[in-house]
Order: sequence, then structure tokens, then C-alpha cells
Amino acid sequence: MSVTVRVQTARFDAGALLNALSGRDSDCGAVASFSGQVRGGHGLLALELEHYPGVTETALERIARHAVGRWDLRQATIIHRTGRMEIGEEIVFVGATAPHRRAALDAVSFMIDVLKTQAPFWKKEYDEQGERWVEARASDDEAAARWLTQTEDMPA
Amino acid sequence: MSLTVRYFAALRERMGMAEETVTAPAATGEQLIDWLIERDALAEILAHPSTRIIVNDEIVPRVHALKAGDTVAFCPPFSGG
Repeated sequence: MSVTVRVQTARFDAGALLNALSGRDSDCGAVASFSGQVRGGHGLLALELEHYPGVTETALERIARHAVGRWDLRQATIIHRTGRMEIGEEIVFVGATAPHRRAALDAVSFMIDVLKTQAPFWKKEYDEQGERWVEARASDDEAAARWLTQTEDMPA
Repeated sequence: MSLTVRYFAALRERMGMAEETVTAPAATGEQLIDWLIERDALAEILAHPSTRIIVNDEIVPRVHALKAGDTVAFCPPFSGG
């Protein structure tokens, strides 16, 4: 099993990351992934992401390792960008491989849901009026809590 | 005791700095917030219930015991992904 975690300002190719997960492990029947990108609308011009270097990587690694143990994954990948991003640009990629689809799909949902509330990233939106920090959403807390109250909690 | 204090995102902008070293008689994160508010009322924003505290690299509750040399980071709610 392997865990890949990266925080980077450079753009990435979600298709290439997905291909890198595919066909590697002969006992895997499932490759699942999620790609997040900058959503336009409401006059948004761009996003800027700040993070806590060092601590972020540790948090992402912990989330990925937890997913590997909980769902018996062969591979888990989390790539997250920081810095300025335009509408339509990729922000985050989460991928997992497993013998069966339910494990891979659940692990991907877990990683993206928990990342939103457990990894120190902050988004700032730029629009014609100026700039504003994005507030955390209660629905994100609920999505993460759904995983963290099942069977076992994330180790602190 | 000496602590490194870091502020992120909206809190960094409100505090007007990213990092400082303080010598404060603060046994917990909560006491550090009180001490910072006493120094400058601007720090009242840190007392907001949504503020999260990371000591070294762990998210901790406000009552977490601090020790000399700790890095205490004040963070608004996370909004990645």
C-alpha cells in the first residue's frame, strides 16, 4: 500500500493522477477519485488558498493513512493546491484504489469530507467588490461528522 | 514562558501580523487568549468560539496545557477542498 500527499502551487492534471493509480495493483478492481475545481458565479474572479505549511501535510497524511487502514486500500492520494487560482482551475484531487468499489468510493468520500474540516486551508474569494474569506459551512461539518462518528474516530 | 504565536488567514489580517514571540504566563490556550486580549483588545477576535488552536502540529482544545517553546497557531475555521 502507498500513500501520496502533496501540497503545491503548481497546476496538476487530474487525468494523469487518475491514470497513475490505474492498473498498478493486480488485486484491485476499483479506482475511485474526486477532483475539485474553482466554481464560477456570483461575480467571482479568482480564489486564493492559504495553508499552514508542515501542519497541512501532516494532517493530509494522517487522513490518507487512516483511510488506507479503514478501507484496506492499496493506494491513497491527496493533492491540494494553494495560492491563486482562476475559475475552472483544479484545487484538489483525491484518489483511492481497492479490491472492491464500495471501499474505494467510501474512502474517497471520507478523505474529501474530512479534509475540509481537519486540514488547515483557508480560501479567499476575489470579486468585483473586493475580497473576502470564505466561511466554513455547517454542511461541511456535518459531512465530516458522518464519517467520524461511524465505528471509529480519526486519531487526533 | 516563551511561546511562538502564529495567526492565519482572517486572523492574521485582523491581528496585523503572521507571527510573534511572546513571554506570557499562560498555562493553556485559553489563558493565552486572555493575556493577548489584555495586551490589546484587538485580540478579542481570538476568543470567538469558531477559532481553532493548533499547538505544534495538533489541533487541541482551548484547555490544552502549554509548555515553554510551544508554537500556538490561531486559526479561523478551515475552508479547504
